[in-house]
Amino acid sequence: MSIYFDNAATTPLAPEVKEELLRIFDRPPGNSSSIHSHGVNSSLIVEAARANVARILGCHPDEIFFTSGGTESNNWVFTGIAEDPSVPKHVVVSSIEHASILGPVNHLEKKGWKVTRLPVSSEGIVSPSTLDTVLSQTPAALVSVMTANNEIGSLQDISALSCVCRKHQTLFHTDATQAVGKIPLNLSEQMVDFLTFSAHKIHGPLGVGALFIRKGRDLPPLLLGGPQEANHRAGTVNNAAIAGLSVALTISSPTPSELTERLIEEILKTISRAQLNGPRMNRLPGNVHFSFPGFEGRKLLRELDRRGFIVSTGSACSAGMNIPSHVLLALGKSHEEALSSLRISLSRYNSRDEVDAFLAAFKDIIVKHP
Amino acid sequence: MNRLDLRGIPCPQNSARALLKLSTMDAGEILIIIVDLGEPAQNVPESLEFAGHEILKQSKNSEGLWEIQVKNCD
Repeated sequence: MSIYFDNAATTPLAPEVKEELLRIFDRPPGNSSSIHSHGVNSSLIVEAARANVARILGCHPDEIFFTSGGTESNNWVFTGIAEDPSVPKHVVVSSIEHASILGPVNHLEKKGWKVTRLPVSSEGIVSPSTLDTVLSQTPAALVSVMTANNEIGSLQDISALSCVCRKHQTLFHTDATQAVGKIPLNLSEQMVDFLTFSAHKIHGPLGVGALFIRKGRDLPPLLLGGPQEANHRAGTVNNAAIAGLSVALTISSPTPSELTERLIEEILKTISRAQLNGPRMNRLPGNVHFSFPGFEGRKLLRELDRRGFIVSTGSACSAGMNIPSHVLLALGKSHEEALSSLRISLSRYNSRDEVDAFLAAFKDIIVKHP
Repeated sequence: MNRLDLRGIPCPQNSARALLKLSTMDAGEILIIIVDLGEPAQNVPESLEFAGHEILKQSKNSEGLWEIQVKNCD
């Protein structure tokens, strides 16, 4: 049985979530768009989940729209914005966004949109003053900066960035897929216009997420052909998965900091060539990311896998391809350093014993393969 | 008096939200629900009655929307 340290890619299902999914699977069938009692009961599951999610995030239920996950939510934002002919054809994103942001952004660029990719510091932080300068020079339709980076765990100052956007009357979106359920987040205290998150990063089911759309803002639907989600997203609603998302969010909590700290401290102490990527402090709970110059991250991953430890060399989306992470390159890492990296992402279900077992195995690998 | 504005919400999401709101209220409390004319005006009262609640009154309001007064019978 392996020890799973790739929670930034996806997480094991929480027992409470599994229980909720099974409870709903056992219920009488009903399409939540049907007006008979089965349909109404199915819709009730979704609406109860919506109300709960809104309560936890500090927004109104009308502002939560369920989707198939973070990728769909992110695509929806950019596709929706681009349909407005009155907006400036310019979007601003950080240079370390997830592929599901860069994909639609690159698509807009091919269609003639201007794209500004904000540089980041050596720790992966976007400067609000840099954003202010960009927006002062060229108005934009949308700014999108992720709350927490999926590879290096850097946390952005979303309050400051959204304030800058508000000053320039520019819409602000944040991909909070890695952050929701792990760091404090209250949409009633933020000037965020759109926010993305998904369930499978917080021990919920795969295939479900949500997009927050602040009242007063709107987006045309990405999926057409049905009235679901208040005419915002056609398609039979996955009520079980949505209920699972709601439970996952309710019981979510960050990885204990002492576990992450121990892992970082011990690696820095015992492996001289280790380079921590991302900030030392103010880091996404559970996220550990190192470069080990002289080693191939892919080979370290395989050896750890062989010894029963599941980690990653970068984002899951790029892990199958031997190309350096754009996030690490944006930090100023060389190709070699970027390809020598490992991401170890813990969850609240990991233990001190597991971390210690990993450290022992990892030190052994490094020593035996200098 | 509790009010719930469900204009623009399609069926049966509107019924579900109405039932959800009622589930948070005490038995005997009254809820005023606003829905669109047409199918919502028919479906929502039917769903509420099917679930055991008592429709006290319903009519078109000054905004041209359908207003339903329902007593929570949970």
